[in-house]
Amino acid sequence: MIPSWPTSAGALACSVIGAAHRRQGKPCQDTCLGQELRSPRGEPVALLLVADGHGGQRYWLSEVGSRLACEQAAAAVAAALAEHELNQQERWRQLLASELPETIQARWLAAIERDWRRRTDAANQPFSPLTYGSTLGLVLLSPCWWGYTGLGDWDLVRLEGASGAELVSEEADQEGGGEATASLCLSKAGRRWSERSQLVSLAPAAPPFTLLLSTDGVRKSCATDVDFLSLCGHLRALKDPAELEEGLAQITAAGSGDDVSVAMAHWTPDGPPAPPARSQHPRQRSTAKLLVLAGVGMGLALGVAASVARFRSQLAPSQQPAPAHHNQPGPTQPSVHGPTGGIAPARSADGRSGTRPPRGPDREQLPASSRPIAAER
Amino acid sequence: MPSFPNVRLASRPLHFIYLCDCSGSMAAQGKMQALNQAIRQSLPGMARVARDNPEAQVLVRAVCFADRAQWHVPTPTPVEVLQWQDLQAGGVTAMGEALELLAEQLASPPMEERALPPVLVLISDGQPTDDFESSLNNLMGLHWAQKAVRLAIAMGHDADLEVLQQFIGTDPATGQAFASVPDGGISSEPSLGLGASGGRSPRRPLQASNATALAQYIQWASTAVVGAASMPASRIGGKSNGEGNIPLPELPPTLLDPVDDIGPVVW
Repeated sequence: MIPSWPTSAGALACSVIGAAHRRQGKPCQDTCLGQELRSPRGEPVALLLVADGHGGQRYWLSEVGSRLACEQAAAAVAAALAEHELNQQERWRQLLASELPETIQARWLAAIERDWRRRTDAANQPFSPLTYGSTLGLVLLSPCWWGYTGLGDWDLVRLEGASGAELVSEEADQEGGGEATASLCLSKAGRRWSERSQLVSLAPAAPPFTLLLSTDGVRKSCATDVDFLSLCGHLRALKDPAELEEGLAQITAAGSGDDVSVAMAHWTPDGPPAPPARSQHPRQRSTAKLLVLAGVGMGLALGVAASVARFRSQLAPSQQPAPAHHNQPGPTQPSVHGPTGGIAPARSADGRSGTRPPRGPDREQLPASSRPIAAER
Repeated sequence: MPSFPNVRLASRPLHFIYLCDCSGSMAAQGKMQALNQAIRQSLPGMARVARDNPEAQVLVRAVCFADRAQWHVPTPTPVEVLQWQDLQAGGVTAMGEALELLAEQLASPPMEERALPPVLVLISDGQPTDDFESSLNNLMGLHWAQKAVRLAIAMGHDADLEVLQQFIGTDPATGQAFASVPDGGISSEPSLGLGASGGRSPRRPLQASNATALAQYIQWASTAVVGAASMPASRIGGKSNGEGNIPLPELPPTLLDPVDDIGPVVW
């Protein structure tokens, strides 16, 4: 049953290559996604994803690993959404704690192995998931509940009112110390997912709030957690994806130097989500009750066309999305690269794309009911 | 350009702390002189690494220990401005007390909430004369001590390698402690100085038997290790990662018969 009370949820996501990675000529190993999905009953669900490739020498394809993690997670969520009604909260709690993680991990492992077999630079080397190691944080925001799952050193903050900010989920110290984190490439990762899973019911009269999911580069750029929570408050106020991109570039340059990603969704009880205004410039879509759902770096139409053409030219034929879908996202036909959303390409501090060209998922992996309405520059 | 008022965005401090044995035996055979010279000569290289990694604030301190332990460089000092004052030898080996002083500074506060893994370098030519083990246990109860990169350099063959290995901890690749790394790089005993893979490992005490080897190890710790700790890549957790708190760089090649301006001293 569709809730009798209306809701709106919005999402914005952006990844920016770390200042240190840029200086060292390394690719951005972060990927993020902000996407609005629809249940079969038409209920809006915001999906937020961030993934952070490990980056060390032994994880030399982790930027691919993080991209595939977001793609496979989006596909797994869309499939679950098609199968399970949103009002089955206990069922979704189970899904977030165990079934979705198992599905995502299995899909990710299959996807990275496919990628490995296509590589000419992998000839005669044994396949190892370690090569693609990545974290993954996943948040779902529905009309009647919100929840999260994932593994690794991502952070989730809930912001409410003018100054309320709460660190909802963080990774506990990992064995191994230093920058050690849980990873999709760990063979026995099941327990780690469940440690980071939660589902929270929402009352119809719940006050508006924002969920902000970030990779560790953001928090590490702040002197203290108090500063981090304050920063989240400032990021929440950014309605323009270009501003978010500029802000993230500023954060990595003044802070950790690490890649930085943020995906956030706003929940308000006072109006149904507006349909995506695909023909409208993203900067013009910032009215208070408007659902803003954006992938990375929304931007200029000309830039979009050029970047899409460039990205497509870099794809292997099997990786290219169907032409019919490309740049034509609709309510039920997502586009990964299109001007209105999808997996976010990394941006350098000066707005250039990172060295990793974003690539789309295989067609069969595309969420059937997603409605991305973000744009990329 | 968005602004973030009242938010302190900051590069993370990287605390590099020497723990230097200044007992009477360090006066023999030019060991104290070699240590002072090695540290002084390493500073420009460390400053260069700091400049190349602006996301880390490299801050140096030093503890010396003899009859008592005390801070030789008490204030976290940016490496670019550090002027090394010579250590003086004399007394016994209050290594445990040095760890107590260190523990006071690795507690939070005064340690920052956000920092890079500290690099701790213990240099000794002998055996502790106080309660080393309880001090080490106290230290290792601290979050930042557990996260730290702990290295040990044995000056000469009288150093207590077992104690130095306790400071470093067990080899994360095997869970076992090893004997020291000889400065020749090759051990005559297959089980001595070799890790599980048969190679040398900085997760064991580095044994310097002359001034050149000492200088090379200190140079390595203050440049290669500082570089690795300045921008640590994330990696998988768990016992099996085999890398310790950060993946340490390769050890430098060392010479069996060094000749330098201190003279061909063999400790």
